[in-house]
Amino acid sequence: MKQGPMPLWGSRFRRWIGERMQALGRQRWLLVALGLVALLGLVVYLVAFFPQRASNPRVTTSVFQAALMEHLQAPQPLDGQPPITWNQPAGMAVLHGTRFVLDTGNDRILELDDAGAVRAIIDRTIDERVALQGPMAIASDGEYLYVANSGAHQILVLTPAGQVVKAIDLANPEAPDGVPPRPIGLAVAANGDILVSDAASHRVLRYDPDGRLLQAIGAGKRESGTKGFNTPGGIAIDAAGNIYVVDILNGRVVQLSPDGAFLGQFGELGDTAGTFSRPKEVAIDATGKVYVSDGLLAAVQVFGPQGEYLGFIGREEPGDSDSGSLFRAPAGLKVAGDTLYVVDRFLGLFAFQVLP
Amino acid sequence: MRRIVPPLAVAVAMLLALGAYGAFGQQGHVIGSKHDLASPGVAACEQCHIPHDAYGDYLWARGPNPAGETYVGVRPLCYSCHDGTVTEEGRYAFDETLSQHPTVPGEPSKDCDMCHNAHTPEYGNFLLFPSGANLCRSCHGKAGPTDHPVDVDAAVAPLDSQWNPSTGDLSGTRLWDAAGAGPGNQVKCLSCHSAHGGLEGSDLSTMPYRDPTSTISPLCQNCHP
Ligand code: HEC
Ligand code: HEC
Ligand code: HEC
Ligand code: HEC
Ligand code: HEC
Ligand code: HEC
Repeated sequence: MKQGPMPLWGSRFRRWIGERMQALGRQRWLLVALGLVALLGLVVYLVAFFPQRASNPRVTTSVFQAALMEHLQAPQPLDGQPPITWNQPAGMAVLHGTRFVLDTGNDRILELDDAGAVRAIIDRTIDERVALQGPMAIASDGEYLYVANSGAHQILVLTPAGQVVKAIDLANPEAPDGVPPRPIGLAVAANGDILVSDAASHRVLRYDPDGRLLQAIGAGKRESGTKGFNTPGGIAIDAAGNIYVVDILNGRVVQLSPDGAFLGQFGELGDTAGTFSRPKEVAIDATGKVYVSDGLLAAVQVFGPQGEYLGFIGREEPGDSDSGSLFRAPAGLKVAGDTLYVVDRFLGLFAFQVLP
Repeated sequence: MRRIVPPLAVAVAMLLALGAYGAFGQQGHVIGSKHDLASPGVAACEQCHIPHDAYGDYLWARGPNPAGETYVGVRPLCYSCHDGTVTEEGRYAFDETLSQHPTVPGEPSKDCDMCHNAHTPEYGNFLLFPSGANLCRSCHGKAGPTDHPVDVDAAVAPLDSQWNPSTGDLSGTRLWDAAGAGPGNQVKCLSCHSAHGGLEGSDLSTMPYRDPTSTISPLCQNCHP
């Protein structure tokens, strides 16, 4: 015999397979195909998901050293007064050393004393023109409070006591389809110009102190790159007058020159160190460090003046990036001296000491 | 080779079909909807399916909050836009001072996704079903014979003058229909209930059912003057 005996199990097995295949007739291709699909599926699964599941790479690096000094989940009750609470506060300003929290859900501003108790409530009972409707941002220029009264399409300029100095109606004939501006971010420049993020037209609008529209930066629709923004949010101005704008849905921070020209950007959509999932607000300290709150990463990321990533703030164990978040939905930011205030929409006011 | 090609072709075709169902199917719904927030270079999907090292089943970012908390699952994603920034619509869905339809935060199909699918604008409000009774009855069963009739023509026009939209009904949802149709439409669950922001302790009704100072029910009186 030329051919040696085949291994018994092999020939039997093959015959068995052959018979089954014949029995199945043309349907066997379906089986083969299903097998292949399953195999391919497994390969795709392993390639696409396995390494990520193993390493779980979210923001896991560089905790930024910041000591939690104070946390007010709700304001402290004032002696003899009924307890008071805020509802989804969005921001905070400091004026003459006093903290003013924007109580967005209750359409009012709460003035806090040093102990964190409500000293005064600014709403329409003080001045009926303080008709707040879902206000989203607050700032100060050292003399007045500026409030982005988002639902009413206006900027209110208030004294610390809550009297209306000026109500700037953001009438904007250039708005596409005549949609009135919806201001959600705000900063006051050294020369008194008011910079406003308009979520309705995706532009940053510059008004002079009298409320005249001087400049509109952006395309008037959702844009990216150097052309414009996709929902501009928080605004901050550094010591040199450069303007930092959070471009929420493009996941970046855009740097503009004092006259509004595009200088640069940092960040991109993502959920790792130095990228943004849903950036909200920005603040800059005396040394030029840039703080950016992110509502979806539940963290505040810190960058150097050139946009270099320095780390992030907001873990329960300040040194352990994998411990749970202190925040739920961090939004408003404010730097005062070496203190960074973070306003969380659900968890209230945090104060961190950030050392230069 | 000839024997390899057909099964491969079938496999590739099946994969493509699966892919198309998973991706393009959703894409077809999202594009042009109110959840299409793309800008040049940033696709509509990227706003929710956060790119780069995203982790989790659906590639969208979740906060690092531990399970068991109330702010987990899809909520942080929804709130990341529905907080007054990207849109001022729907912040009330997160207002802890209002009564909300019960949900189990973080648990699939028991969270916001028991009524909403962020990809399907067809029924209005990104709801899973056509407005009103169908959605609610997918869980609450058919209205029994002793229940108030639903899906009947609402022959009586509501006394709008008695309707205070700032109590209970926050979305400005019309008395009649979540899709916004006016009087003349049918009575639906949402004629009397609201998923978000019903009156406290009143089974989510949009107007007081009982009035402590009178025998008239403000809710019923709306349509039965
Ligand atoms: C507004 C937010 C949002 C946008 C925009 C969005 N998705 Fe989703 N997507 C989700 C959420 C939330 C889930 C998880 C579904 C769940 O848990 O019910 C999901 C799940 C999915 C799934 C998994 C299958 C499923 O339905 O459960 C696919 C596939 C998908 N999305 C594709 C897309 C594509 C393609 C786009 C872009 C055209 C897109 N999505 C845009 C929010 C979004
Ligand atoms: C990337 C931002 C973004 C995210 C994330 C997002 N939405 Fe939206 N959503 C929007 C915008 C913008 C609108 C349009 C609002 C408007 O018309 O002003 C909208 C509209 C809606 C509407 C009203 C639609 C209508 O027909 O009026 C519902 C309901 C809704 N979203 C539910 C959800 C749910 C549930 C989630 C979480 C799964 C979610 N959204 C996540 C941006 C977002
Ligand atoms: C029991 C069903 C149900 C659940 C659960 C539910 N919703 Fe809704 N939602 C609705 C209905 C119905 C509407 C239409 C408005 C109404 O009648 O209240 C709506 C409206 C909305 C709107 C905006 C409508 C507008 O135009 O103002 C948003 C945003 C929204 N829901 C988000 C959410 C989020 C986020 C969750 C989870 C926290 C959630 N919903 C859970 C049923 C539900
Ligand atoms: C996915 C399933 C599901 C859908 C869809 C759904 N519900 Fe519910 N509903 C529930 C569950 C579960 C409960 C809680 C029952 C319990 O705790 O005993 C509930 C409770 C309620 C309650 C009692 C409220 C309370 O505080 O106890 C009301 C009223 C109600 N639903 C109305 C509605 C309406 C109106 C709709 C349509 C907009 C709706 N439901 C859609 C599952 C659902
Ligand atoms: C004509 C007004 C009206 C309509 C229409 C209506 N309801 Fe109700 N519903 C009520 C009132 C009133 C209560 C009791 C409220 C109370 O006791 O304070 C109630 C209570 C409930 C409860 C809680 C008590 C229980 O029986 O478990 C659920 C759940 C509920 N409704 C679901 C529905 C669903 C689902 C629909 C649509 C199929 C619907 N309702 C349509 C008026 C209405
Ligand atoms: C959204 C409007 C609306 C509201 C609110 C409403 N009803 Fe009705 N009701 C109707 C309509 C429409 C009919 C059907 C009328 C017809 O068939 O002639 C009806 C019919 C009835 C019937 C007759 C039922 C039958 O089987 O023939 C009763 C009883 C009733 N309603 C009681 C109530 C009570 C009690 C309330 C308050 C909990 C209430 N309704 C609130 C619109 C409403």
